[in-house]
Amino acid sequence: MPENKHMHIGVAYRILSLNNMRLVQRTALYTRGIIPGKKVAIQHISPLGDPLIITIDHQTLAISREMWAGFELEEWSE
Amino acid sequence: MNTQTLKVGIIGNPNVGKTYLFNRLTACEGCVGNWSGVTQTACRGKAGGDRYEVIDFPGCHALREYPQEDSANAISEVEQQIHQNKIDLWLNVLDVEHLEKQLYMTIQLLEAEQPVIIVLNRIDRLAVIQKNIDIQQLSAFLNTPVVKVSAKLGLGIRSLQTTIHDRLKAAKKDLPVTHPISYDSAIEGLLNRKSQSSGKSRWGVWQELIAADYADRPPAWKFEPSISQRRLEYKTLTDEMALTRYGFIQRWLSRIVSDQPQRREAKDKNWDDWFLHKWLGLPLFFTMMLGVFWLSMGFGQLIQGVVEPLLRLVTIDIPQQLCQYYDIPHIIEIMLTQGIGLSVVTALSFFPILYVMFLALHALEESGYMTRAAVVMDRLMRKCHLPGESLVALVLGLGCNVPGILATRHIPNHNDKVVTALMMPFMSCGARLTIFAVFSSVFFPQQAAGVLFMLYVLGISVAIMTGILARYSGLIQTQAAETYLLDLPSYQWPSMRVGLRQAYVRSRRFVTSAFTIILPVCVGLAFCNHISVQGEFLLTPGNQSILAFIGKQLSVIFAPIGLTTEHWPLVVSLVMGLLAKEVVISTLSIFYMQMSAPLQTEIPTISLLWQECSAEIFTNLNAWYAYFTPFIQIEAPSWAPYFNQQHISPQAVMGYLIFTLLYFPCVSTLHATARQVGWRWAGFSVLWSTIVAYICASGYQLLVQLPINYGQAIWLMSAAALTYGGALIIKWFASKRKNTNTATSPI
Repeated sequence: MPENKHMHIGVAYRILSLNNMRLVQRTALYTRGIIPGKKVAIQHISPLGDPLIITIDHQTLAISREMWAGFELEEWSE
Repeated sequence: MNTQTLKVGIIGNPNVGKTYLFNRLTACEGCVGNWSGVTQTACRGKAGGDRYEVIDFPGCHALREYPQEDSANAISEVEQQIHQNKIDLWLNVLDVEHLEKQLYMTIQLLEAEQPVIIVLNRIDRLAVIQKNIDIQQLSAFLNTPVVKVSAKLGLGIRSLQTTIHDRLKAAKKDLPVTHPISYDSAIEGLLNRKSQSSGKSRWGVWQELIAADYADRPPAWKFEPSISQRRLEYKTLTDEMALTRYGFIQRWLSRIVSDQPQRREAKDKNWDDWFLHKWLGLPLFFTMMLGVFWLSMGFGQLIQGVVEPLLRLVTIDIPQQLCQYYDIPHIIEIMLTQGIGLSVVTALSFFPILYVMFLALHALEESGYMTRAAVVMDRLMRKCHLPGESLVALVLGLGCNVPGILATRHIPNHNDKVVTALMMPFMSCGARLTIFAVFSSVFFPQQAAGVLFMLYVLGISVAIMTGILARYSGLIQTQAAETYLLDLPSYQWPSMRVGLRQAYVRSRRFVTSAFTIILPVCVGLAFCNHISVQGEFLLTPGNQSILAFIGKQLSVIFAPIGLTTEHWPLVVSLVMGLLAKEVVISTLSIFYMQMSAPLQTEIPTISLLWQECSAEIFTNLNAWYAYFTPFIQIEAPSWAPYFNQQHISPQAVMGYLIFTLLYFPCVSTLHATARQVGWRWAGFSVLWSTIVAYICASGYQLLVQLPINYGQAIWLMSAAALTYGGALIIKWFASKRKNTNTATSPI
């Protein structure tokens, strides 16, 4: 299973692109307001290791590791 | 008076308070909760003095998120309504907290040229989250009315009703058409050209263009050079559309909304630190689930211990006494007491247990924990190729299979939904628990808890086996969890007032629907039980009744399970259990109560009956602690000693209990399954569960009788042939499904 190297809890990341994902996945993210340029952070990893709990735009979402692997990210700098 | 009722649809993202608003507008009692997917099907109610009908649609994030793998589910109910232009006015409910993502669907609605009123809900929270929203600016941006409300507290409802009234007065065609977003000039040009040439609406053309993105076939706009070039910037038109919309929304929101950095997440994070903790998360989940059942069984039965004797007194004992006093014919007495009276007692005696269970579940849902529970269990359920939401549905199914099946609606993948629905009938519901408890108390008084536990484990094991078999046989294709995305609601304290009301509504619905089945069954059974095959009235039911005749004929089929012709009441109860599992015990009550205690010639006075009833209530209350033991303890019913005269061996009883646990789900569950996943799968579920029940129950009989004789060996071979036949049926289903998929897959 592909893994995202940006897996640190509490670290804020900027979404650079979602182009590594399939359109179905991208659409699901768009409808939740998850688009390139947004600030995202992993808040928790669920007890069994998957899914991840992320915060974005004051909302909390659970997302599978596999889907998280499709995010192109960089560390957030103001 | 209007000849045609106008339709007002409520639409919005999940968990924004749509059903609260629906309840306010219509004075209906739709279920509400702090999680996505509370509303599972569209609910309808009259409002505005019956001038218009309000329809509460299930929440969705966008009008067309992406096509489902099953073409039958590709278009949602909302999309159908928009496509057919059936709704006169949409109330688009927005939560004040996450406006940006919610406005995405608002834009879609306006682009689909639908008449919309924006309902800004939970305005009471604006002060708490230190946010300010410029309503006039928002209204100007969208060119549509915006009304502030708090549906939960009832604020702004009058103003909304006035706005709806005014908007409905205007003819639909006179309302302004708004397209708040301007796309790239090349796309706008293409939209206008295609719209004019095909006569389709702009929205229809738009959908047609986007559908090509998903179908992965040469898009309709491929030969438009100006459009094709845009793929250099965006991967597809869908991407361009989404990102352009968000660009506009963000620009407007920067003018409309002013807010402070939020601290709410900190509070949620503190709770999540506990509930999603690496080591504590799972134990806390199991503690929560056990707590719900411990409470519902303990408190529920305590209340039941008071209510049931009273109900029996009012609906059976007193009417019987009055019938005897006024010398009313026996047939009417039987219908009144054993028919109507017994059905009331049977249906209402479930009410307390259901009420407490729904109250506890509501507390978990409203607090925001229920969604976390799905997250905690997700990986474990993935081992069975199911999402965490499946576990929540299956847990609900332990109370009653019907809400469990209905809860599969919020499982996003259709195949996962089907597997969960197939597993559901094996989750031992409350009604079956009562059957087990009654039989255990009679036949296994020392090991009652162990028997109950064993049956629960067996049910859950068969459910898991079904899930695994469905996947590995190829019957239902597994899809990777690549689109797993779940909104976690904020934590909040559950409202006691709402919880009590909701628990009442849910329990009442269940009891009412069960009563409609139980009443005719009880009346019919009482009649058949007192009429002989020759058509004569029988004061004491026995071997000559019509029911006894039917039961004896059918008992041949159940011989491998251990039931003989002597056990015909048990066979009849199994048949009646198809209608509702609640009916099994009431059927046996009718048979055995009347056989063990036939109609008395001298009925005690009402005061004596009251004394007996109150004595029973006090005994139940004094033994309150027994209800809170880990396992249910039900006293043996008054007709239990009659079992002894039937020479039923404990092995035969176990076979009967195993069959009851696993066989045909009740008609309500069947109906709910068909509604969620279609009649084909519902039919398969019935066939599968009954075959499994028969094999398990008769297999148990063989195991306890080892070494087996010649006849049993033949049966064993027949069972093996039956299993093989079942496997062939599954394979046939699978191959048929594969063929269908191949036929419909895009070239």
